[in-house]
Parts: sequence; structure tokens; C-alpha cells
Amino acid sequence: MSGPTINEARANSEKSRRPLAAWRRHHRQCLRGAFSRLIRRPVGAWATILVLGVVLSLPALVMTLGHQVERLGAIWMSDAARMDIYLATDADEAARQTLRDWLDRQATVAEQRVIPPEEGLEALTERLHIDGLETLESNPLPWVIELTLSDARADTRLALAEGLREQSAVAEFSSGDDWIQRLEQIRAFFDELGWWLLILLGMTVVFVVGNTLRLELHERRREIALIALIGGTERYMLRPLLYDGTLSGLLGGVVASGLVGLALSVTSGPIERFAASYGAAISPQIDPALVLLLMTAGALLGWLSAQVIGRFYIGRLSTP
Amino acid sequence: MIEFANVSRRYANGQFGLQDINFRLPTGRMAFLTGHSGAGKSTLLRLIPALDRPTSGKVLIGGYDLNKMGRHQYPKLRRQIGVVFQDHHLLTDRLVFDNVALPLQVSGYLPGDVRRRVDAALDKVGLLGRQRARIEELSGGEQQRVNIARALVNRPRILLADEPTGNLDPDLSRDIFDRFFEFHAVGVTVLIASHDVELLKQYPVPRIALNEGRISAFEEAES
Ligand SMILES: Nc1ncnc2c1ncn2[C@@H]1O[C@H](COP(=O)(O)OP(=O)(O)OP(=O)(O)O)[C@@H](O)[C@H]1O
Ligand SMILES: [Mg+2]
Repeated sequence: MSGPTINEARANSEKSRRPLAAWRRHHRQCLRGAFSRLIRRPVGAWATILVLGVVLSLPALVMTLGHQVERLGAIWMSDAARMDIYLATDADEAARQTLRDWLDRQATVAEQRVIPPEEGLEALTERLHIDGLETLESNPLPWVIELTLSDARADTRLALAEGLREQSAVAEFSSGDDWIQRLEQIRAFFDELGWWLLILLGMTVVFVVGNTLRLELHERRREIALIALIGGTERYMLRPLLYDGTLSGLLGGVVASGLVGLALSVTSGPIERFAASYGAAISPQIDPALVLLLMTAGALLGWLSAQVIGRFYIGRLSTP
Repeated sequence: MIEFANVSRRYANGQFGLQDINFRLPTGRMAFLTGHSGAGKSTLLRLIPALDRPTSGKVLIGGYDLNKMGRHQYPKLRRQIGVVFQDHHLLTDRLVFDNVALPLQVSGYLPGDVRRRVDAALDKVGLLGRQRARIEELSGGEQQRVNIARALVNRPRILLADEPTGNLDPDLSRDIFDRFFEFHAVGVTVLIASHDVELLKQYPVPRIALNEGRISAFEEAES
């Protein structure tokens, strides 16, 4: 080394250092490395991804089940979008008309049919297969108005019920909304259960990915120790690992989505038949939002795992 | 500048690696570190890039007290110090090129610069043609030269070498020492541990002699 003075050499050295460009390049390298490691070491890496997929598919299946219950429930409840109003015995013709006019003005009421007590008695006789009811001295049945509602949602029913309570001609009405509320509660329960499972199993994911990464760190321990000796930062050593963890998690999310899709297509027959029996047509498909959730959750958990395991082991490998 | 003030290093088993070491090596100076096997040469060198910490006393590099330095500051310190390790620390399943390029990649050089500098460093140790060889295919002496090239490649401000010519024949040893001397001539601070007394005699460089962890003599350059 003759010619350049130390200062020139140093100036040169600083000029050719391109931290930002080199940083971007290292990111690209780590991404490529993560893919190539996946291809080079298929068995261990893919086994991890498969396990992740199965683990993540569990909460997803629960959430999907909740959604199916909601959809099927809505179809089923379309039959239940009805309400019977029993009129007060002292309500005369004028009072009945006032009530019918009021009902006409309600947007939530699609149709109304008035059932006089005689008709009601006939129907009852027929249904119960008993004779002699006609001989009763006075008909014990009230006037009934049978309503078809605009939809089967609980709020619709509740809003109408509130109005009905104000009407003096109304003695009683079938609420029926407890069924719908129960269905909504069931769906909410499934959703919540799904989230709890995701959190709980998320920890499992961190350990599963972490264990694979630990093996990889062990394989690369000499290189990591050397990088520490020659001035590599902890981030530099951690970077390949972060890519590996994130990629594994992401692919685990893809596998989980595939499993949920598979489960749906296997059960699609019965679900479609059920819907068809109500005159509805649904083909169960995985919710794109769920796919996104699974991939994001997988990638995040993989990344987290690499952070935790990586910082711990790299710290130990690189301190004297 | 490298400065040791009352530095001791006691190992976990109670053994002293170093005891009450005081010396100062100004910027751009060169010194040899001599002493019998087990005298503490490696222990002393490892303290400079903070690969190890003293149990008591202070090590100052360029005026910075290493005791006050946080872990996150080590990388910056280490990038300015080239170390020829006594035990190679080479990645044996990798190419010669990859090993020498590592310090450059770690400190953020782009591939073009990396290639140029690796070529230059390998040229200095006479291994220009062996870039694509794997470390395990090299002889002990060749591996040692890769180790030297890796320490030089970053053009460090401080160069430390621990028994750099252990595996080399006299001609090659001389050649390598000439390289170190050139580095010193352009302003790099150089500290070399060696017990090759005959070789050391040929250079007008002061010697720090260690004996059982203590400095037994500080000999000014002869000639
Ligand atoms: N990790 C350790 N634990 C305990 N004792 C140690 C450790 N490392 C070194 N020593 C002891 O410290 C002393 C100095 O060791 P050091 O490696 O610095 O010697 P050296 O001068 O480099 O020897 P050589 O010329 O053989 O390389 C030796 O007695 C050694 O046994
Ligand atoms: Mg030694």
C-alpha cells in the first residue's frame, strides 16, 4: 500500500460506504435467503408451516362456524319474520281500524292479516283434531292480527314491540325475538371464542416458529459469533431470521386459509341443501377478510417469534 | 490511541490473565507484544475491541473509556479495528471471497466496492487467485493469510494481530510483517503479539514484554 496517505484512504473509505443502499440490499438478500432456505431445507421448514397452518385454522374454523350459523340462522329466521298481535277483548271495530292504520304506517310491517275469532276457532279445531268446540257458548279467542315483518332482525322486532305497547287495542303480542337474540349471541360467542383461540394458539405459533428458528440459529452460530467479532450490529444478525420467521408465519396463514376452505367445501353440500329447502341459495366460501386476518396474524406471530428468540440467542452468542 | 490504566483480567476460575497493566500506544504507532505461552497476550488484545472486559482498570481507545461504552456501541468500535485472530474464526464451508468480504458487507459496502477491496486485500497476502476456493481446501498457512486479509480489508484505524505468522515459513512471515509495517507507515496503529524473536528483531519497533500477566519490560526499538 503505497501512495495514498491515511487520510485519503479514509476519505475514500467513507465515500464508498453506502449504508442506505447496502441496507436495502441486505433486506433483499435476506428475503431471497428466506425463500432459498425454504427450498433447500424442505422437510423441517414445511413441517413447521404445516403445523402453523393447522394451529391457525382452528380459530378460523370456529369463526367460520359462527358466520355460517349467522347466515343459516338468518335464512331460518326469515320464516320467523312474523308476529302475532292479540287484541284486547274490549277493542271494538273502530279501535281495530285505528290499530290497522297505525300498523300500515310502520315501515317494519310488510303485511298484515286479520283473523277474526271464528276463523281462529276453526283453525284451532282443525289443528287439535277436537270436535265440539263450536258448541262453546262464547268464543274465548281474541281478534288476531298476523304480521309479516320487513326482516327478521331483532332490532326491527324490538322497535315495533315498543310501539305496540303504546296501543290500547293490543292485549298481547308474540315476542319471538328471544330466538333471534339467542342466535346473535351464539354467533358473538363463536366470534369471541375464535379470537381467544387465536390469541392462545398464537402463543403456540410463537413457540413452534421459535423452535425452528432456534435450530437455524444453532446451525449458524459460528457465523453469528464471527459477525459480532467484526462489528456487525444485532439488527444485521437478526435480519435474516426476521425474514425466515415472517415468511413461515405468512405461509402458515395461507395453509390455514386452505384448510378452512377445504372444510367449507366438504360441508357445502348439506349447507346448500338446507338453504335450498328455504328457497335461498348460498354457497359457503371463505371470507376474504378471514384470509387476510390469517395471513397477517401468521406473519406477525412469525416476526414476533424471530424477535424474541433472535434477540435472546444473538445476545448470548455475541457477548463475551 | 490505545491506553491501558491499571487493567486486570481475572478469569472465573480465579486465574489472572492480566494483572495491573499500564501502557499507552499513541495513534499511528506500532508495537510488538511478546511473552511466553500463557503470558496474557491474547487476553490483552481481546480487551481492545471489547471482545472481553477487564475485571478492573480502564481501557481507553481514541480517548473513549470502554467501560462506559454500551453494548450497542461495540459494532462501531469493532469496525475500526482489524483483528487477526489467533484461532482463525474462518467460516470453513464458505469461499475465501465470502470470508474476506464479511467485514465490508457488515459495515455497508456495495458489491462493486466489496469486490475491489477483497481483491486488493487478497493480493496483499498473495492469494489473489484463490477467491473461489473453500476455506477447508486451503493449507494452514493459506488459511492464516485469509485471516490476515480479512483484518486488512476494512482499512481499519487499529490493526491487532495475535500470532499472525504461526503457520507461515520465514519468507512469508517476513512478507506479512512488511505489510503490517507499511500499514503503520500510513498512520494505522498496529499492535502485534508474537514470540518469533528473530523476526521481531528485524523491525525498529518497541516491544511490550508480558510475563505471567504483568508487563515485565518495555523495550524501546533497537537500531
Ligand atoms: N477463558 C479462560 N478461562 C480461564 N483461564 C483462561 C482463559 N483464557 C485464558 N486463560 C488463562 O489466562 C492466561 C493467559 O492466556 P492467554 O491466552 O492470554 O495467553 P497467551 O499469551 O495468548 O498465550 P499463547 O502464546 O499460548 O497464545 C493463561 O494462563 C490461560 O490459561
Ligand atoms: Mg494467545
